[in-house]
Amino acid sequence: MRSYILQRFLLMIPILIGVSLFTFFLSRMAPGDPLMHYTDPDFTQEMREEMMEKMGLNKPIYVQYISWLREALKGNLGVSLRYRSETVVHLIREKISPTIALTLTSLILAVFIAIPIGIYSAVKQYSIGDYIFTLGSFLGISVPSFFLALGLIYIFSLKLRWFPMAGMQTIGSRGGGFIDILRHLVLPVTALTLMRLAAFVRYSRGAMLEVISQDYIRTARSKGVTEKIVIFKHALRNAAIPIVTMVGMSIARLFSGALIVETVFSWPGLGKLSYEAVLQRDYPVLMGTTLLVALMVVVGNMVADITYSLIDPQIRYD
Amino acid sequence: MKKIIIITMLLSLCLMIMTTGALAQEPQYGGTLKFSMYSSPEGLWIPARGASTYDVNVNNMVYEPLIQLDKNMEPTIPRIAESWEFNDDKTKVTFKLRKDIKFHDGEPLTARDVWYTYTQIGHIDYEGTHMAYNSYLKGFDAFREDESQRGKALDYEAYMSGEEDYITGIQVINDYEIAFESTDYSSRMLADRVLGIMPYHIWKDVPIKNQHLAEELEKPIGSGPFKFEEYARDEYVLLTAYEDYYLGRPYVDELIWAIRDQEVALMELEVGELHLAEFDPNSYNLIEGFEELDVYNDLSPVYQYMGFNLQDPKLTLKTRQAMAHAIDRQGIVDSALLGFGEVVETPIVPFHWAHNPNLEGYDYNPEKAKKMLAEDGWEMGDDGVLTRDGMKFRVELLYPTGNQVRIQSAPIIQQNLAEVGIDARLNMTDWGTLLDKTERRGVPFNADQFDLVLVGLAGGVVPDQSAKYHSRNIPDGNYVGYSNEEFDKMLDDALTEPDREKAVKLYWEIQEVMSHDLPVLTLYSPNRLTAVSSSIHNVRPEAVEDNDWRAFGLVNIHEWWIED
Repeated sequence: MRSYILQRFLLMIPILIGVSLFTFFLSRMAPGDPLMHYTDPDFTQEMREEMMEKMGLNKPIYVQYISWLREALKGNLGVSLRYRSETVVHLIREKISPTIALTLTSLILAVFIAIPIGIYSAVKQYSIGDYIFTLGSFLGISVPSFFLALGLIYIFSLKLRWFPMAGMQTIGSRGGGFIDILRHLVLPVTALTLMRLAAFVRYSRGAMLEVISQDYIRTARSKGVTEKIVIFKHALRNAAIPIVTMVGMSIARLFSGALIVETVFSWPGLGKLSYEAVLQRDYPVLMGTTLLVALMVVVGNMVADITYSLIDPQIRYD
Repeated sequence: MKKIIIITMLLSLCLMIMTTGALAQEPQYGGTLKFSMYSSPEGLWIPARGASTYDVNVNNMVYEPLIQLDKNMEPTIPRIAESWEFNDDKTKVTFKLRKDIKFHDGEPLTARDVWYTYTQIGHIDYEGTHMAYNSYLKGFDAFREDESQRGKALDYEAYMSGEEDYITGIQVINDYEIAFESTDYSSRMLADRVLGIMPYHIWKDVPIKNQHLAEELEKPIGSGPFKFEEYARDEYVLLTAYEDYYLGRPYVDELIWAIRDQEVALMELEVGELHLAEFDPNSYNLIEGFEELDVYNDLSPVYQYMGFNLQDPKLTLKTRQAMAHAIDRQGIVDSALLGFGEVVETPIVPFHWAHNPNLEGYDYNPEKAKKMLAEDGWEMGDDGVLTRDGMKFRVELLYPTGNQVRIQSAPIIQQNLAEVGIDARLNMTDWGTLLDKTERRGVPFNADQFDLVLVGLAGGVVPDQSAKYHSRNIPDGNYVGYSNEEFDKMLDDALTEPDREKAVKLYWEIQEVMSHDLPVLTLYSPNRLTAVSSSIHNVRPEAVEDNDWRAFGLVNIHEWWIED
């Protein structure tokens, strides 16, 4: 087991280098540059080239990559081209807690709501309850997230005035405290949970359905095991593997942030940071956030793999 | 008490009545003004370097400029400079500074600070976009290439003792007098003195190269109506009232900009969480039922235009003119802008002092367009598409993502052109790709890069059109490829004409030539829509703000007050 984990860790190095290589060249080859939004006619071609040189963007791409990699290995991901006074590491550190607060809360909520619903839907397949949940999850999948977010704001903030509309704290409150942040968290978390919920319900229902039709479930039932034990001990344990995979894959999304929800609710998170880095061709930030997500995908997969062996003794890594 | 305030000659009378009504109440001190902006500032609080609109919003509150533009975009409003005087051939302007201005830390503002703010522009390590603000000054070129300055900060003592020249055209006369001298007359001379003045005593030890990394940026010091308090990226910028502001302490205690999504900002206005937000016509429906806000419908210097690739053999002069008659520009204003804007016939916007109001322009007249196209040799084919010399009139209409109104205008234009037999294919790309196709740098211009392109620009304080239409700027700024020797000369003459009346005349002629030759067809200028909470008094939106007119006019921000 230990050597397996070590092996997976070592494998991360070529994967991350591959991702960085790919992202670096792809982003540099895309049309545009960090100065493309300077449309002031006074800003001449000559000045533009001078600025590019000062930012070190006029060298051949491979030279830029090598110097980026050399610094990155030392833990220095460079300085943002948009926020000139901030390093990439600082920016990511600044955005990571608001994002985790948002995404982790909604992931936990989604998992704990979705799995029971999924089980119920699978066990009571084609019941009215199943139809309602199926319809609900299709709605959840098909409603655009900005619409859902704006709808929540319209109903719960504008009309009912129960919750604040946007931001992480009350405007001008100068750090209104924990309760204030919690109140601001309610609507974005609800939006994000509803969006994730739909997919999770479908997933766990499917996983459960497949298991329930297996022979060993029929055997268990026929030898007189109570339905409760059949479902929660025999079936759920076996359906858990695809569900764990699903949750494991979601770990990366904890760190990629949630662009639309973050934008509508003005939540200062990583999703917005990386999206704006793409729009502004802020290459160093783009590299930083992409690598973080890539790292989390690899780690998430690894965690899922290790969890498999805990759930299912048949799976062993030697 | 919702009202829509339209800033026109006629209605400004009503506005006056309304504001006098408000003035009858006694202004109250206190409270927090809460504004919204749509994107986070870069945090580069250095007015001399140039940054995003969002940074300019903040800089305009924290820093005070020498002079300010009026609503016709003329630099006539005294701020730090109480007066100024030109020499006889107008190559030198001397500013007299007020003596009662102090920075937020109590240090008096003197000519030394003005010298510092402007001299850094052009330093060999300068990383900014305002190079043009100094480029015509005496000694600028020598300073710009001075290798010995690399890595250094500016040293005022060395300048005063004559050890260092820096820019010879920037001359400190005494503590409260400073002169700017150019090699030839430049009409930009005054208009470029609108940058916020930075304190030398704070920045003197910071090498120009390291400015953007300096810890001084965490809490910038200026002399404007508000002191910088705190910036939380993607959340808010917080400023507090400056007690010793020379025009009087602001009535409000704090000014905060929250970074918000547009629709959400409007809803927050309605519930009283915000006081001011700019918005697009698209969002107008949302606020129609809102009670607690006033809408200011104000002219903007932004205009949208359609550029023609002049190397394209299909797009001959008469054909371009016919296309101008074929496109229903008023229709675009009415449908895509919901009427919040106007058709413009020239890139110099209507409220600018150099605007030519007598242009005949191009009315929407498809019949006339068809006739003109026929006169220019186009024949209608069986498939409803025009043909000339065996060439079908098929073009691509290129436009960028982003601006919703512009995106909506593209199919209208396509439809209009189809009605006269021109087959336009729509092609929406991201901004980077569009620039690659139009202003492709260093690549010789050719007919295949693009046919028609929709883009927008903010009209400059200086009405000069050289960057876009002077033949020396082909293919960079002048990517449409407009080449007209006589026109080049007119541009040069207008820029160096010291006499205002003669300059206006020259600009009128320039606009006539452009309107005739149509290197581009100007489409419309959208209005700037701003929603302001009804509880705010003394709002005067007609004032043009600093060098970036996209910001709502906050020129008298110190007089704004909040009613409980």
